[in-house]
Amino acid sequence: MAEPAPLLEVDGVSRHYSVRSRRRRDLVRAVEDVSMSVSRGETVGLVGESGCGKSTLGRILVGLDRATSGRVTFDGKPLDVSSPWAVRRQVQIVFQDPYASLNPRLTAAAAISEVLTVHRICPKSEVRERVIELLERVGLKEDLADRRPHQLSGGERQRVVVARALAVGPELIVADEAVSALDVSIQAQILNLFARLQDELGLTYVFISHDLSVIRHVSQRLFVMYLGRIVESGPTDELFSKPRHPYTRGLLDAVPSVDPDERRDERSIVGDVPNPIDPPSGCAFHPRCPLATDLCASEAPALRDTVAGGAVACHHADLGALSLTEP
Amino acid sequence: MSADQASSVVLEVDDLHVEFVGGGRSVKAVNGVTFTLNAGETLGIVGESGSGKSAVLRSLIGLHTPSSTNYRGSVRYSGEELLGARDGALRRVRGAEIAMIFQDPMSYLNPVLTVSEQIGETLRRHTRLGRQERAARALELLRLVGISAPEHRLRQYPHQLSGGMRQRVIIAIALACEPRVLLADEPTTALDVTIQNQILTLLADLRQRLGMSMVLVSHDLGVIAQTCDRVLVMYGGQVVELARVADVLRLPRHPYTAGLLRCLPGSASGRFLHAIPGLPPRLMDVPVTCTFRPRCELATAECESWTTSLLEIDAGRASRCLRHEVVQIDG
Repeated sequence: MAEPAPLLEVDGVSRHYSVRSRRRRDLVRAVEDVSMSVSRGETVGLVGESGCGKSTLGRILVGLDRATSGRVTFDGKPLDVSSPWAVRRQVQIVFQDPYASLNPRLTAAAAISEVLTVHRICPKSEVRERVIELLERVGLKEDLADRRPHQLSGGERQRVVVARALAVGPELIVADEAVSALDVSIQAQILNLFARLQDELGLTYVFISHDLSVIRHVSQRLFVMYLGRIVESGPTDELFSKPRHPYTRGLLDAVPSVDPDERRDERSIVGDVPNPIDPPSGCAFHPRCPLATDLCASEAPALRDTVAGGAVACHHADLGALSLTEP
Repeated sequence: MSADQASSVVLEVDDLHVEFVGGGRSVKAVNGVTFTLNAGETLGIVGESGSGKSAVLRSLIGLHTPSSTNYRGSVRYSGEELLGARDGALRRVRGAEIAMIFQDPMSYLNPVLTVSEQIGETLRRHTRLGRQERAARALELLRLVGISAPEHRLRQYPHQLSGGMRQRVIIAIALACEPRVLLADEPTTALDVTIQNQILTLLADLRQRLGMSMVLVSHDLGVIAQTCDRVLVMYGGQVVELARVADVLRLPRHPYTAGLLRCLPGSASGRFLHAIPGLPPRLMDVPVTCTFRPRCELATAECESWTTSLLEIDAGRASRCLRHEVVQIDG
């Protein structure tokens, strides 16, 4: 099968923030030299711990933040952040907390019709009809249309947020921890909604989450970030069955399994994520890495392609199957 | 666990009801919860938002605002009734005998006190240690919870610590008086998975070394699976299932538990997950019949009229379901 042109292409994107305190000026490299491509109709996962830059990258993809350097291309054309109106018709974002994303004074219908009117999606006379259509599309009945956020459950609110995102007819949706605040039974409902919408509308998703089981379920390809950089990428199944980066492996080992026979690896990753203002030398992961050598402390590893169609940034990644649990 | 320990009950909760009142309305958060906590045991309480799991935990040491909370039932610690006990009696138990740790360490630490001062406060209240002894004990506690460079950390304020470190400090404060029971309310929910793993390891290790009992509340079945001996599954303010963790996870005997397990991403091979339809019950008016029936795929006409109770189905195993025998984990 010939590879179709990617819908979204991220090329060497960095985002640096300057942090000023009384005495000094520091630079936080929130996102550093990230490249990725997303094909039409695909779901790509972005995973990492707090402060790894996954949300900053997500915000750049939808034009809510500007890259310090690098390029984002959407459908072959550069994403024009100077024209947010155009960007918002193409890409939308769904955040973690639907309560914070909705205006408490607007009913579900009003929140959605606002988008339809502002973007002139349809004539005024058809707005109500279109709103009901969108609500039905996300599995909400018409009688919820005139409720305000506090009269809806958490799952219903997130459905309203999704309906509002769909109102402009976007091709790509960035879901930033979109199911993280929901209980598992509701989380399953919303994940199913995302899957159904993708089937019906041919949507493309970038799923950002700290939750590896969610990411594994939804995404076909996966990017693992650590301190602003991509440390490993590849097909999701491959990454889960054969992680090549010790950080990926450690993340997977740290997830508590519901299988009582499968004991947690108590030693997985030690220590905390380092301060991004003062990142470690060489490989940023080396102070927590069980495989670290002198080389890791002095030289940052480049992202190298793997045979499985992914890439990994680790000096020791080609040591065959990584094993952190064996003595 | 030795047979001797297993038979010694530390905490006994009997038919606990908790109702929150205010503004002319009431919410029945806990509706008849009964369990015992054995010495050296870790008991898990799992459930979704609003299931009453945290309300149970807080009731054990009377943390709800007395003026807006109605309790019924009994909570006995070493034979002493705690439910409705006077403040003085509760204060003697809280922190010294039964300690609690919470989800968000930042909001339970005082931002203007150093780590040393916060640990010292607990010691001053519950022990007769002098200033220097308190300082020495604080240092010892930080070492116990695995904080590196403890001398340095003692002088720091909460904002200077990472999330994982703050939770370790909270645990150090909780352990200051060597409590017999540790109550943990979602202790790792706000933490990254690698840090969660570290804290769970620490808690398991401390429990063993200090011979504590623990009640761990979590929404995360994985956390429960990896830390607890027995588990209560809560729904609508009631216990719907009680058993050893491995039994519940391998062979759930309540359709809600089975549903929860099937909802987990990773349990389905296809693109769509099993989802429990509908919403949890509203707790204004809890029926005497099964609260899960409206969402249950196993419900029959008989369920509509059955006044529920926790049925003992095996030794140490109970389910609040008439049809517990036909519950299956795979749809």
